[in-house]
Amino acid sequence: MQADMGPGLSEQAVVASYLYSARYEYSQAVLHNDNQVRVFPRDGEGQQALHYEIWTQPPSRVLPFSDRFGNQVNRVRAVEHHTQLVVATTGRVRLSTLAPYVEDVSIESLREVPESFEYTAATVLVDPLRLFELAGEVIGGATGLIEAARSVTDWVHGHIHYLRGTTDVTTTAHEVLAAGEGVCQDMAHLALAMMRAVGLPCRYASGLLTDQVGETHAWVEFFHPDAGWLAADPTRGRMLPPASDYVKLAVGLDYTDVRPISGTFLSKGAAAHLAAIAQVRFGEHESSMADALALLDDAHIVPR
Amino acid sequence: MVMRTVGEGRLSEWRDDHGRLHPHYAGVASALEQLGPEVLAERWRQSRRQVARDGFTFYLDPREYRTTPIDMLPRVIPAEHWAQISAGVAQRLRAINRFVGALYGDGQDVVPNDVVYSCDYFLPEAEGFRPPSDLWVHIYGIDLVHLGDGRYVILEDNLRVPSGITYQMKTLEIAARQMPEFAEGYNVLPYDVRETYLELFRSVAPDAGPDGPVAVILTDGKFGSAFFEHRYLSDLLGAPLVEGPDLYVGHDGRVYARTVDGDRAVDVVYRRIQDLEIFVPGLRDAYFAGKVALINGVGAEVADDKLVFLWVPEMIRRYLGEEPILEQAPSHNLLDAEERRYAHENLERLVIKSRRGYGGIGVYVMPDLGEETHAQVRALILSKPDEFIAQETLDFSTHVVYDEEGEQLEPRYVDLRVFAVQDGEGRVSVFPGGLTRVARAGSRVTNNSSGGLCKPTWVLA
Repeated sequence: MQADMGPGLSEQAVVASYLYSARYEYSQAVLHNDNQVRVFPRDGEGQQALHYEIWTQPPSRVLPFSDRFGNQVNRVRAVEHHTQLVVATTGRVRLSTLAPYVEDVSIESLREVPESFEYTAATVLVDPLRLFELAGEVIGGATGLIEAARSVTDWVHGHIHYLRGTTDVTTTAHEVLAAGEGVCQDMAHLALAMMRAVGLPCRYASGLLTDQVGETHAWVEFFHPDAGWLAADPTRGRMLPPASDYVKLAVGLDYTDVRPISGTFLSKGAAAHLAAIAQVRFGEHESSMADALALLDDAHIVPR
Repeated sequence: MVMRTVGEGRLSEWRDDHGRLHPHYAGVASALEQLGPEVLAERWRQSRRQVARDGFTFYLDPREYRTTPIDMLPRVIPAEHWAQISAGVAQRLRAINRFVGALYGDGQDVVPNDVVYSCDYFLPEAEGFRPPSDLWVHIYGIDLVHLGDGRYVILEDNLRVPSGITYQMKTLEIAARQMPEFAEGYNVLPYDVRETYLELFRSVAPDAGPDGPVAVILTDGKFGSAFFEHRYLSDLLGAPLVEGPDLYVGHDGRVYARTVDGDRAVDVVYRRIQDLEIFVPGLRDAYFAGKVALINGVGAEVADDKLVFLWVPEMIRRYLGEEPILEQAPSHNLLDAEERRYAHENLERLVIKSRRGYGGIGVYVMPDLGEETHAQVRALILSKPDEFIAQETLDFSTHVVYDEEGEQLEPRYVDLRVFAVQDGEGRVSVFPGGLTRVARAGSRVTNNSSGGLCKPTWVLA
């Protein structure tokens, strides 16, 4: 069973620390810059949030709240004039290393779950109606929930070629299918659209891979009536990975609900998102704003 | 002549449940009868000519001025109804003012942080700022509907840039000119917008000197939808109309207006635009520094968020220790899973409103919309419920408008936007009457931009 982290599970758990840093530059002075940040640990599904901090440069007023998915959000509003904005967060989580063992149930049993009404919805990026036929074919005769989710995950992993730079944050699930290529976000959207097309409640998960330095990762969670939300990672072709594969930061219906940093600024100039980078290490590590800036210096990644 | 009324609604301002004319319309009805269709048709034509001649317009994108359609048959509000409305509006204004003060002052726990912090209109830089006289809400507009029997229900609050007071005045003025017969025998409560506004200006700029404060009206220009109102107020108040580039903040931190006679220090900026910083860099900081009075100030707009609206009754209880005098439309917070489910299951009979909308933009009255729109709105509230609220659809009152071609009275839904002013000495004035907006036939949306009419509105003394 996938279970919440109880004291009894501590032997099968690890602590991970992360540092995330993003930098924006502007061609002219920004008068105020108002953003919602969603780069904080979530609680649940094998992850326990232990700690987080956020810094910005220039300094901001930090306003913590939760969104409707229970994601921790901090709104940061900088009103000191600036031409560069750095947003950095650090956090610590305890993660279960056990892969969940769950009995499959029939897809039929999802009919009555309250999650069905919201988590099968169409969004701008995930339109299940356009994938109805394909999803039916891919799932074939599968009657089990996990079985069906696995068919979709494997199919997306096998048919979508991982390639950077051909898609962007506005690429929809059916466009990904047509292109046959994309990044983790695109594969997650396509898998979500196919799962929703056959009535599986599912959500977009955003976080960091624990075994690397890089960008945020995206995968999928589908709803199991007994076990709750279960992970499927079409990019890596993995079903029900242990929580310790990721630091989970936010969930939503699609990418637009979990954007690490989103907001508005007031300036006569234009903005360039220069870099975002994350580092995850096992164990308890303290990080500072200086570490966040140093990490950015190492970042050669210019996100899409 | 017997005036026919076609398809009257269930709750009529004009007649009671038994089809009898409400007694306070006896004089108006008898004037209609006596003048007869030919005279009425001529008067209605005259009223349209005057609307056009006086430039009583609103601006619609793209690049089109429309004359404001009016119907001169007045709405008459009995004194006992008005007593309740004016007390309820004043109470609400005071409670919202207290809430905003707490929000930016010592803190508040009436509205959850999940709501306030996710609201674009919450401005952290106003935290710790204390406006003179703790006055956050100067000019307030509130939308009400009448459910019959003196039951008035609030649909929404307008705090950023409430507009329409001059539409109320101008409609009255034209009807009084073209149809003086309606008013015979009526004793209508008067009000003085000019004196009330000037008193407000004086109260927020007490150090302005013996000649009173120098006030300007900051407009977004002649392509703003309410430019008629800006110009009218400018004439009425003797306050020059300025656009963003006409104002600047000087080295002494004060605000100056560029005029043909040189630059003049300004004491009061009555702003009719929303994004101050875009139009006049530094104006907001000058306000925070106490160098200029700003009407409306900065901060109250948080209560324009239609989700914050849900907690106003609680503000009244908490900050004033009173029970709300006026009801408000039952509304649903879509950040809450149960409420979302309810909205989803009952969508066909609800009103869906954008949290950030104003002036009828982003309002979906589902019972009045077609299937295709239903599907679109359902998709919207499923994918982005945090940007909307749901409100119960109310069966509110209709009034009659005179149709000169059919020589008959036609029922239409009407609402009431009431305006109130709070000054630096804590006085609240609620202007008797308000702007009665009439929906297009078959619709419940009453905004001018949605094709509605304005009616003169009287309160009986």
